[in-house]
Amino acid sequence: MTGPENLPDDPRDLLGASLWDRLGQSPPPDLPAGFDARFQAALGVQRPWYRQHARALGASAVGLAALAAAAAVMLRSQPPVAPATPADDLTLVADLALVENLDLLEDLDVLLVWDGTAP
Amino acid sequence: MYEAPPIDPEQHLMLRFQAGDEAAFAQLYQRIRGMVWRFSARMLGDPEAAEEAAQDILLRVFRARGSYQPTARFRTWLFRIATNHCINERQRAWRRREVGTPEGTAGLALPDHQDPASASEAAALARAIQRALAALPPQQRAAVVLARYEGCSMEQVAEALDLPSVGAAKLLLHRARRALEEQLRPFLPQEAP
Repeated sequence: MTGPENLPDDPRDLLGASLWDRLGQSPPPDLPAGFDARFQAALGVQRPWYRQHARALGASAVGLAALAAAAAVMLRSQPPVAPATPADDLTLVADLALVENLDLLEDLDVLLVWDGTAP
Repeated sequence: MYEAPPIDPEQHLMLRFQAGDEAAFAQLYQRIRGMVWRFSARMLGDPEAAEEAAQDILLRVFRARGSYQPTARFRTWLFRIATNHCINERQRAWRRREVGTPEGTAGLALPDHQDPASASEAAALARAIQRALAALPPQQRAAVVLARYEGCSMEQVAEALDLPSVGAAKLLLHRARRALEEQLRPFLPQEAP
């Protein structure tokens, strides 16, 4: 049985030169189109002032994280949206969370009464 | 005279972001997004699941602003997050039986090749590699992806996978080699009798 003390330290030697070279012939897939825009959209709801204000209104940390996740998931399935105002952004996220059937109704109620004005 | 140890550029950007420099996160994102995407794609295969995972991992980096401790190289810290996330996603997907089958890798957009004949040969090899990687147990797959595609040393692999020793990382790769050689036999040179 092979013990680790008998194995080479170099990953290339561990995998063997032939296999190493073959594996190298699998090119990395291209970054999907729109990746950056979707990340920016998902990042929007992470901004501290969103979180602070929503928390002040009673939304839970779990709810906020799930909202952000919902935004990230759903924004991938459509062209990226650039919300005009924070209120648009939150309404969009709330809609998306509902479409995803996330169990967030209490948080959504809290968030939707907010007019979106930054504190 | 004492010289402070150099810190890696990504760690430096994360520390600047932690100190309130928002532009540092934008620079950090530009440096790591491709790497996180490639890692997720190779770990999960399915392009939609891979993008979801890559974006979640990048959001976790953003959210780590307050808690980040520069105790390891930034990439090691990042790959630890990425590996745990992808393994969890894989298990969740497997339970749902939705993604993660080797066939799911067919949707990954591979870069274009000039010559159609070599393109089809290259695509066949690329698919075989993805299938072989997908068939590995998650930790072995992560070890191969980190060592072969992300240029990690065995120390970094051990650290990223939270393994107790470098020897454990070497054993993972050794076992992965056997499985991959079996799966990719048609594409490997024949051994001399």
